[in-house]
Amino acid sequence: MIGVRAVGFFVGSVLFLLCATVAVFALRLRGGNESTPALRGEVIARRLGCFACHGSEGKGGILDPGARGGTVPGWDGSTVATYARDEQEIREWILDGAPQRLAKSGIADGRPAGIPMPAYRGRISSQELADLLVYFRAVSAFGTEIPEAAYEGRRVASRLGCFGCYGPSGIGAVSNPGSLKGHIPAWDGEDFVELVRDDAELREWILDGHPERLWNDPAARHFLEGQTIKMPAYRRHLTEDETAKLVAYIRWLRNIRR
Amino acid sequence: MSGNARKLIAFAVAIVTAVLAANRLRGDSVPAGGILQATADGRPASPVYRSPNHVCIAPDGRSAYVVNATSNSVSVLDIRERTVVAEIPVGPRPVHAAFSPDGRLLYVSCLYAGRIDVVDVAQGRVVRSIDVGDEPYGVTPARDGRRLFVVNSLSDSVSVVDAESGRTLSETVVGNQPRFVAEAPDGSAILVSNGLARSLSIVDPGSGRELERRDLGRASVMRQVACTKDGRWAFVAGILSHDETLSLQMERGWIHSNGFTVADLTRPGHRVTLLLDRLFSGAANPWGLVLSSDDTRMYVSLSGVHEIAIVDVPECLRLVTAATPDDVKPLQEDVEILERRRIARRVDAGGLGPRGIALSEATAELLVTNYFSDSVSVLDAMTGTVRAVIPLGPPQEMSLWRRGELLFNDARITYQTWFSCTSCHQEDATVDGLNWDLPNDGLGNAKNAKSLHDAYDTPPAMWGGVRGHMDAAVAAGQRFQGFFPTPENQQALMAYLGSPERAPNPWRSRNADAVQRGRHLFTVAGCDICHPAPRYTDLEMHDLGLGTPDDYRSRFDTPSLRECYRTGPWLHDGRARTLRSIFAEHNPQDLHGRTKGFTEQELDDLIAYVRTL
Repeated sequence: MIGVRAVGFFVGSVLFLLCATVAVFALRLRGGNESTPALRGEVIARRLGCFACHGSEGKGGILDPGARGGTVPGWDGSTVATYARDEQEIREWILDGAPQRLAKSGIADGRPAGIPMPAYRGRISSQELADLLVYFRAVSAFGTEIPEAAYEGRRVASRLGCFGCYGPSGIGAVSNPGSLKGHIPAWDGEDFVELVRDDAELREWILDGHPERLWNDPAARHFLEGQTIKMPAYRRHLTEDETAKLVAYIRWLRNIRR
Repeated sequence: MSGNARKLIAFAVAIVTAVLAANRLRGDSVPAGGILQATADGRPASPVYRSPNHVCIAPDGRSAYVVNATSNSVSVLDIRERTVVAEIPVGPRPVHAAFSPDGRLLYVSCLYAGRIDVVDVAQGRVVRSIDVGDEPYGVTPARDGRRLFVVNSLSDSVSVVDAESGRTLSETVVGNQPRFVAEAPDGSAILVSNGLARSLSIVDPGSGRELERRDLGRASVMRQVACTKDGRWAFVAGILSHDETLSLQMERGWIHSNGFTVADLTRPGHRVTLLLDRLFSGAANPWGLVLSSDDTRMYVSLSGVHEIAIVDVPECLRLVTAATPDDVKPLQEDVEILERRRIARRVDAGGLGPRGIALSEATAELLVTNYFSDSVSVLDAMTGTVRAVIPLGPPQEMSLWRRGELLFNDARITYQTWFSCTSCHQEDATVDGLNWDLPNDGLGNAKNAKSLHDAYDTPPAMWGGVRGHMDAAVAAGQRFQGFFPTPENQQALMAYLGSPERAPNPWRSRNADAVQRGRHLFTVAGCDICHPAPRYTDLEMHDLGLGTPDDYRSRFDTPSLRECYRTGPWLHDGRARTLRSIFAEHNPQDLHGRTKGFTEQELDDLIAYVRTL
């Protein structure tokens, strides 16, 4: 009699655990590796050799004694803004090696750059170019259409080092063995929706390193505690104002990339 | 044949259209008898106003010469008859004048021509012109008549000129935008009021060496300077700008107060600022300042409240002499001290915009030029009552633009008349060189006052872009100053600021080769990306890494580069004192134009070009 009750309890427990585990694994496995335009763009940039001159991930170019500034421009920071008026000109830089506007005035007039920008026309498909531009935009934050709160939030993210794990402008892709998704989720990707239900949860992620909902779920907690890279808690490093700006930035990113 | 006929017809049609258009314009805006003059920069045509800016009494005491800034003329008045007896044409934008000691010549500074026009009084015409620095303002001949001291307000210098040959003997760099000059009675020094540098320069006229640049504390927008006969005391008219604190309340002069600064020339560094305000009524925008020949009375024109202050000089100096260094600050914060102690009183000027004043000792009268009334009022020098107002020409109806200019200079639209728009933007709607902590973009982040000349076509307004466009900014300005914006004033101020009057840019005619090279470098450095012609701004907010921990934002509105040759200091918090330092010191990350690899020569060329915009 006692045995039957014990077995019943045991089976029940196993079934419950199994269900919970299956649910969490389903959550974990459905994502797989994300494929966003920005991530595809990064692969294209690597394949075309962009990083050879513009630096790893386009962050900070190599030395060029022929150039006025002494370096090939990186894509990061606002310097790129002084090379191109708009995205069309960036396109011209990639395809023709210089934008039409500067063809006449000669940007390197009197002092030719030692390392001229190659022209990729005919070596890149229009889809590849589109993806590459999304990645470029993520690295450079090119463009001024970003609203004030989101821009300041971007600076907060930069100061806290968020982009180290999340990639430039949070495009994701760093692998994270043992975590819920197996990789660091993109801020603008599909996995994000499952991990972050609303702004309140986003704040919990930022401030505590995990949201209350997943922390209280034993199976999810197993992954949160077991993952290789643990999301740090930034509560002690952020003011309320900064947190709000950071949330505004991530929200803005999700809105513009859809 | 048919081609020629067509051309002829087209030409005739063009002429008829132009005449019709001109007539329409004439009918709309000009009262009978008015002279129509369309301006080059597209400002609405309006009657020519005289805008008397200064007056001097001829040494014979019988006539007065009035410098008319906007009609390019000098009106000659018979003081006793109260009539205009002649009007002498002079160079563009005359602003100040002084007689040679023998009274035979009148030296007129022509702001827009960079020269002093010499009027032969007997002949009643300009007999020669002396080239000086850029935008000469104050001019004073030495007591011996052999030399001329000229303040070049745009070159930031004072020139000593040989009156005979017109040759410049020395040119001394003084403070930012100097305005007036006075000679010490023994000829040992000349005193220059540095308009925006909060200082008084004391220069040795012989060697041209600056002996001392006396700090005047919070005094700002310095105007006329005078020296007592004993050579000991210098008086400078000006306002007191509390840019060190938040611009939250104007009561008791917490933003601006108004008066003059007294400096003891025998004690280096000494100065006491005294205020002509009253507890509930500021004495906005002191301008002209004269001493009676016996140094017992001083007159200060208060151009923003249209009043004249009459100051008891011995009593005033008693107060100054008794002041210890510890008293200097409490004294300059006591807005009603001169009124309470009955050292000064204020009387009506008899017209709008009193600027230049002169004392007619022979008739015991004070002559006041009313810039906006186109008149000279005659005040009893002892009582201050207005004895007569002499119009300088037939009455002209005020155009909307002119009304806007008046409002801009008028403290009556400000609560308790503490200041006018000009207290931060000067009478030409440009800059005062100071950083102001306005509450519209959060507190604790002071920003450099911007020139208003470019606001009309470069939205948004303000460094932080907190006003969507100029209309909103002007309305906010009205609320800031007077709490309730009125649509009439809004319309006039918009008309004035919507067609700003730009001074001729002297840099455009200089060093054409360097300018040509600089134009190319402007593109090479990528300047034209964010500062594209014709407005020289992309109207966007950019982050150049110039934000400080005190700023609430990292991006600032890209300013137009037009007239940047005269709007310094530069960058949002005025950190660049020279155009060169913008690139040499404040562009370490190469974000503000790719100037990192520039040689000294290339930087010079770039600046030469930027100055012409």
